[in-house]
Amino acid sequence: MTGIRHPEFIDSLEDTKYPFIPTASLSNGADTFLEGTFLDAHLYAPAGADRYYLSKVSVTAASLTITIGDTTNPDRLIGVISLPITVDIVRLTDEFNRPGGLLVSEPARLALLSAWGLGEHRFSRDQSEFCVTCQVPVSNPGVTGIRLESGEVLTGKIWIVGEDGVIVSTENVTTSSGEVIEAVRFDVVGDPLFLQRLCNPEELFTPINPIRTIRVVNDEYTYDCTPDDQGNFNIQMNDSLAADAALRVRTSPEGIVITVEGSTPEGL
Amino acid sequence: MARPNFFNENLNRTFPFKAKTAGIETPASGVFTMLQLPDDVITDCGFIMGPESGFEEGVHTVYLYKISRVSADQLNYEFRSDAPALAGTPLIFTRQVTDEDYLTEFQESDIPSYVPESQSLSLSASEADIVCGEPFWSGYLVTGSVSSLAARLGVGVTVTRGSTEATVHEALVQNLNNSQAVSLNIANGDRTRAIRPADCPPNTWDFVTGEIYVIRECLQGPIVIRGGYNTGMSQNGASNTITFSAVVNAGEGVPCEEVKLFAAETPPVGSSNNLLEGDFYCNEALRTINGLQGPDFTLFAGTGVAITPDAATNTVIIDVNLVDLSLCTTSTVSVSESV
Repeated sequence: MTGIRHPEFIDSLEDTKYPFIPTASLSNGADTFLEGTFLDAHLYAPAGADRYYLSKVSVTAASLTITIGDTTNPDRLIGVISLPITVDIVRLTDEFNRPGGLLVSEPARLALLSAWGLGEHRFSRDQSEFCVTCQVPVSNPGVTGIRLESGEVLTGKIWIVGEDGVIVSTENVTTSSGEVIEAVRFDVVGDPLFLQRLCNPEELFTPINPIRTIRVVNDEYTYDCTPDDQGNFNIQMNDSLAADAALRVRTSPEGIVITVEGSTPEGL
Repeated sequence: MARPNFFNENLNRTFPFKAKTAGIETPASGVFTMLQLPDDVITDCGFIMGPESGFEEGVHTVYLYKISRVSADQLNYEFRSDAPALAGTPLIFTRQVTDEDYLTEFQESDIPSYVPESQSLSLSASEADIVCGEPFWSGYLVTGSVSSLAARLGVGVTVTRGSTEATVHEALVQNLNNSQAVSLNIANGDRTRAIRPADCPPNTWDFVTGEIYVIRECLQGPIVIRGGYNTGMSQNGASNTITFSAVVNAGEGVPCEEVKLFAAETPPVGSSNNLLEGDFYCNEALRTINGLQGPDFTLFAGTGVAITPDAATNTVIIDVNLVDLSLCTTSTVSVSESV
């Protein structure tokens, strides 16, 4: 009898339960993994815990979905493979589509799972736990991403850009312990000319040169009158000098009427 | 799967490279091609692809690009990846000929660096590129017998990969691409800037307008966020959320003056006021007369008054000439004002 004295790494794992632990039953009573269905695994969910196990295999007409759970979440990672299977690597991602590991297999081995029939095939930890060798603890770097209300997760080099009246800046603040730290500051101050901005795309906005001063010229006297704080200017009858003055200034919805009270000659 | 003799086993198999990508028809002695790479040259390796590596499992690979005998005493092992962001960023491991078997070495690549956006705007120019983030990638290498390898490669000899050889086993790569927030960067979009009528001199600023103004790049570590003018902030530890709201008088209240987009922002050149957008204060433009709004405003001449416009001089002459009124013959009243 001849044999290969030094089989390749993957070949040496074909007939073993690896990457599952030796005590894993690989069966839920209805469905059973053959040894060698998976040849290797590498699991490192960004927000994962420990004791990863294969929790579910979902088969549809178009795809095969493998779900990996851990001690805190039975749906920690998923890997989706389109049918027919042509890949030998099952790429695993978390709920935000961040990479979380992979399963090494072959198309023919993965095809055995698709033969289980349409539906969900669930497993418990004691049936399909992965070897600790396959599980890589990911250090907790703090904030791994910023999730928006839309569900989108931003990672890497993240930009915060203030627009439309919101201004973002940084400033040094002193903590209660006396430490000076750089803080990100948000100011909501509005955009005074927002109407101009809104109208510009439609070309509805026409810039104007507003009246800024009313210059009153009365013979040798000249007065420059400016509006008040609200931009209002008042034209009124000055009755402080003569209580019986005939000049009247009346404001109507159509405009301002300047008139003199008095009688008209007969016949007019 | 680690076993007590794991390294020993790897001396006799392609691992950590994928089967059939190395160790094929290796000559008993002398120089070799990368496809013929002896099994005992490398016994283990592993790589971590950084959050900005652009690496994608199943698409990109890690491979041994070349082995070089750079001197009588030293050999270099250069690993590369075909991930686009890793082009030109190899990991190079170094061995001395006298190094013992199974020596382990860890290496990190360069950290991403870039010319600051603010530098191009000359707003807060800094001379040096910003180095910010985590290494593009890192890894470890465990070598077999270095002296045996040195015996095959003369000084100056380099064995270089073709296109598919010496590909590292996929499960030895940990991909952290897009799995971390590396840095926070702050910028502001431009404000709406006043435009003047065609027959008026246009507003000009002594900086480029319409840009995104970079305030701060590469904030890392613990971040403090603070609400300024009219900014309400609430934090919910249960849902791990921070909510911002625009509320008048919240935070530091209503500002007394305009807040600059960047420290060097100035009003338009020759501005008579200090408004950054180049417009007028409310009390600088006539918005209403006696409470009546424009844009058109009407003056009616009643009895005894004549109103005469003079468009050429932007003048309205209001002449209280008492026309059509019964007058005493001794009256000399005639008041005329022009506005």
